[in-house]
Amino acid sequence: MERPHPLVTGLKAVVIVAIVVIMVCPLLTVVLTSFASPEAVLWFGVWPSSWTLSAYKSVLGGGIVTRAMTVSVAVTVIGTVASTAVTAMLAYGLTRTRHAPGLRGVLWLVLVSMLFSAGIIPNFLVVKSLGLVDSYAALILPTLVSAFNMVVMRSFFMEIPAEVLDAARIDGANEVRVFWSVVLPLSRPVMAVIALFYGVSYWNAFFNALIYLNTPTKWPVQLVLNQFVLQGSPLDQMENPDIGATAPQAVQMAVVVIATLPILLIYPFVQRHFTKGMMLGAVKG
Amino acid sequence: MSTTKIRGDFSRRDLLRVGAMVSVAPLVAGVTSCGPGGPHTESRNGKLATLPAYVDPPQIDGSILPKVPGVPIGYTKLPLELVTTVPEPPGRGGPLTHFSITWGAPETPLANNKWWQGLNKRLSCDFQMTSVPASNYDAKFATMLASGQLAEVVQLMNTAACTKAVQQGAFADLTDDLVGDKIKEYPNLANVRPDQWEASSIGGRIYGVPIDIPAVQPQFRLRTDWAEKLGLSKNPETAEELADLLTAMSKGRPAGGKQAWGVTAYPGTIAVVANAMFHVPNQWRLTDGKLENMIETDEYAAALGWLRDLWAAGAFHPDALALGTQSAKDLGLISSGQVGLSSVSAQNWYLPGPYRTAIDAGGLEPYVPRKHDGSGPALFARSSGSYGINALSAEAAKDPKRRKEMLRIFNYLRAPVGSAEWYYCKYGEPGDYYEPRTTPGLPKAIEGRNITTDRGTLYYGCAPQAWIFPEVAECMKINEEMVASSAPDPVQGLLSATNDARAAQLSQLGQTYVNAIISGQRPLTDLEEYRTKWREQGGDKIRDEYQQALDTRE
Amino acid sequence: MTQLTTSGGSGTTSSPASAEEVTAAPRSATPSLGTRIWRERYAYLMVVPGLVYFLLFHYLPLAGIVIAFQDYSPFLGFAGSRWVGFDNFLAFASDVDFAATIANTLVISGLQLLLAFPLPIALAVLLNSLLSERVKRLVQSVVYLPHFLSWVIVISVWQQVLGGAGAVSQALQAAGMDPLTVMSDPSTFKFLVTAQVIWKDTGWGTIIFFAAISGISSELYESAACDGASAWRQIWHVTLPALVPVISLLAILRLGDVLTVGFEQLLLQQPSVGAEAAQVLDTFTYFRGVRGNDWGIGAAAGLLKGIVGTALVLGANRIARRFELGGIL
Repeated sequence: MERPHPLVTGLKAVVIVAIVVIMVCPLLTVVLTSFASPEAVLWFGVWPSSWTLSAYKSVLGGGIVTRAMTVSVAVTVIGTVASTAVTAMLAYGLTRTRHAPGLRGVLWLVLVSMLFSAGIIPNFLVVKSLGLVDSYAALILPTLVSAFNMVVMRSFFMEIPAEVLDAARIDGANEVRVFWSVVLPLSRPVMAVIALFYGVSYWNAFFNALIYLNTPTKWPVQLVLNQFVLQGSPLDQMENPDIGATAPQAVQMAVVVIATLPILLIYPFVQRHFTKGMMLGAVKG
Repeated sequence: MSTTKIRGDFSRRDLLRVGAMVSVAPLVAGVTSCGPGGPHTESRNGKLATLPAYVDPPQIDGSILPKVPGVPIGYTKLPLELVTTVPEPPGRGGPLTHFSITWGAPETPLANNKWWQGLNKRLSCDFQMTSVPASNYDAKFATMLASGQLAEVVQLMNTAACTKAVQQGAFADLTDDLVGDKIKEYPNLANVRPDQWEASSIGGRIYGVPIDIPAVQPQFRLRTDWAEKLGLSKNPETAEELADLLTAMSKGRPAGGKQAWGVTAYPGTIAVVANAMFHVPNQWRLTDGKLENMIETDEYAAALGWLRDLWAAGAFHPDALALGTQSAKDLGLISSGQVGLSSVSAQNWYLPGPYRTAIDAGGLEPYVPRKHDGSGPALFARSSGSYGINALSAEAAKDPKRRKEMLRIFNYLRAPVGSAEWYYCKYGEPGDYYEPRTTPGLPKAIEGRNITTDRGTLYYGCAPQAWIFPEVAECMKINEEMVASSAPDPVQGLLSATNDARAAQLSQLGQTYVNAIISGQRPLTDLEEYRTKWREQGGDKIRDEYQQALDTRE
Repeated sequence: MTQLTTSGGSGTTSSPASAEEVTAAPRSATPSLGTRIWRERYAYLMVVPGLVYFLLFHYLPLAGIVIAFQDYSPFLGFAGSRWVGFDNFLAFASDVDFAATIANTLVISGLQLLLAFPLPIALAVLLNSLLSERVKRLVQSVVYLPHFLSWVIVISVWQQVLGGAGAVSQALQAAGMDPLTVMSDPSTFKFLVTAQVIWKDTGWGTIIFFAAISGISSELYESAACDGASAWRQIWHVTLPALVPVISLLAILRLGDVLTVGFEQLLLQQPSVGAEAAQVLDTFTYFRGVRGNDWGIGAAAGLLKGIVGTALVLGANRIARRFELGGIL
């Protein structure tokens, strides 16, 4: 490839730096504010004049957050695996819409379900009648498959050249084998992306937990932390001298940092599967 | 002025700050059932026919009875001897399910929770709790009703959903168990004030024990050190003086290098102060038997004009309207010493916490606004004294023995300050969370133990207000001044179906107009437009329904 | 995933022989229905778990859509609540704010489709054209971060930077100029909202496109370069065509959600700019439905959104097929 014009490179650099700054600066604000003590003033709205760890101490103390973290991690891992598996199977099955009678209807059925929702109460009643209320399964099953994710995956599967699949079929493989041995290895990027989407979605989920869980020990971390974000003033702040005074806003920001950190740590590991560095080798021919 | 806070907005910080009922929308009623109710209740509207009797809580050494009813009892110290108000455990053993709101993290699980275990023993029951995050109370309440499995004890808020459920017969009518002297069977419940029973009654009947809050909750504070620096009055007598002071605070850089403003959030403290100074009625005004809504009055227009001028003069924080929804940020400005006029729930200025720290730093003095022309006291909005009730599900209360048992448990939890039961609920078993006491006074906390995380919401809601701090006399005096010149909402205790359905929408209408008028985006004359729209979109109907209820009561 | 065709490729599997067999009458050359089903039995098997999920957790609850036609009360349930026919729909359509609400919703949706939708594509392509792998990865790891902040935090942070008392305003005032009013100005509110969405979700949106790009064989780029194509032409003839199926798919799905433009983001900022500028269908429904304890209105709104969304998805899909841009089927 020819070397690009230096002006173009320069322009690109400027744009990219600008984008990074715009994205990162406000996030830096979040982290900085989480260390602000109550008397602190934020210089230029961002830099605290005095620092403290009391916000983190108040959120993490008491063991509730650690317990909730365990729940969240378990639900996220199990949920992501289950969801990705079921979605992939469904997506691949539905690539056969032109060959298998009725599958086209199934595809539309799934698509349309994405557009209509009956609301909280009917969904609750279904979960209740399945006996799942106040169970961990209620955090996974009701959101097991996302029609959006499925359609995206299917679209990527459809891109695989027919000859490749036919070659395997001619060799006597049934559809399941084709799926397992040919399609999946070729679909690492989309599998990684969809797994990431599910993972993030399970990690961030809190509304289902709110509606379906009654026992506080089962609360996932987002539900616990949501209390602090919205109210900004932990109940024990007034009465616990051990922690020292906390600034409500610092607590809010500390909560964001704590809630988001685990996913941020996972991301680089997933990223390598869908960036171009990963060459899958020539598939043609 | 704050027409935006609707009954359903029961964020705790709002309760801590200005009191849920004080700065409430013009359309909120007390909790009553009636009107086009379901087939399960009689169509009865109006006040509670006979009130439960009232008994003062036992006088303990160091307690100060308020001179004005509605002000909580103050306690300067806690004697070593505690009164026992409940001689026998109230429960019969067995589980008791609860449904309660929480503003913080849920309680520690029973297995590791000494306090909870002790509570179960003392109550002789197995106290089971479903804690509901405040922000999602509506959704959870609805699913609980839809599932057909109500908890036995449910904390009801003043929302349309709760009222409707009561009307449809989901909760037990406790009136006959508690009226007149019957309440003496549960002596601690007799400490609930008559106005609280009345305000929390529904359709003239009692459905639960009200949650105790003061009649006027906030205490206002002014940065008098700034006033001094700016050469202005430390105790403004008129609205004009206050406006000058607040504007100077925003413009004169009284806080040295850091940004400072006279007024931060709208709606917020300034809204309550403006309403008080201009004698704006508390939601509705009843003159010669005719109802007028607060927004229709001349006083309201005057207060609105004053606020508008205040904004134009530059006294407000530039993002005041956004701060009105960002309570954490707004409260943080008090601690960082950047706001001239602020308010929180009275006791929070004195109890250990960030506001106490701010006071100890100096320069923050109590302030009681006067009438706008300085000719007399301001008129404060008097809350109903309760923002919710602890109700019993109709199913659970069918069995009279069970009903009495649950009322006895309420009795235990409502034990007054200074009693052994109250001491346990507040401080736990001596030695577990707090050191055993050898001298009178408040116990000392044991490092590393935190009773609040163990207690969670298990105790919240049934407890009496407890103003226990050394400066309680000062706090009470200020509160008395405000309560003495306060007006209740005349439609408290009455119900309007249209209000339930429309309050949120009308509040939004108010927000659109009032916020814009005050910030200068709309002219003051648009108030007429607002009034007309308010009437058309349900205001007239609401007024008629309340009027009807009032007339039938006579 | 590799791409066989270059520009103009629609990407959908084309098995020429089987195009119309689903509806054709049986002919001697076409196998019978039973045979076809048996041939595809594994496909059916693979579809079963997902299908069961959708039937159980999406369609079964949809029976509850009757709420839209009732004066529903949770305590009384479906059986005990009164039927009101189309009253809920009428109440909502005849509401004085309805027209303005729909207008706001469509304008904001349009702005987002026009401005926010294309940016992740542009960003993905831009990042992909960087030579350094490390810079590419690093930048990508940073731009997706704002997605994780809840709207409460996003708005709070934007205010800290762009608010009337925020960092930029302080700097402006120090320089003797007026502070910013962008966060409380009703006339620019819709653009503010779109900008916020762009900031929050563009980075995250690039992920799918990266996955699509990563499947493009480098041989295609090489052969284009050999033919003398400049960097820009390579993007135009290799990269973008590879993205067309994904783009059209996402566009169609986005149209299905045209009446959903955000809830919390708008609810939180409505006090600053007023309902006329900020009210959209979801907040409208919230104030009348949820807060007024009127479940019927919420369900009616949901039904309305679903019908409009379905019509748009069907229409868009047809257009996409017509212009060979992909589509869903």
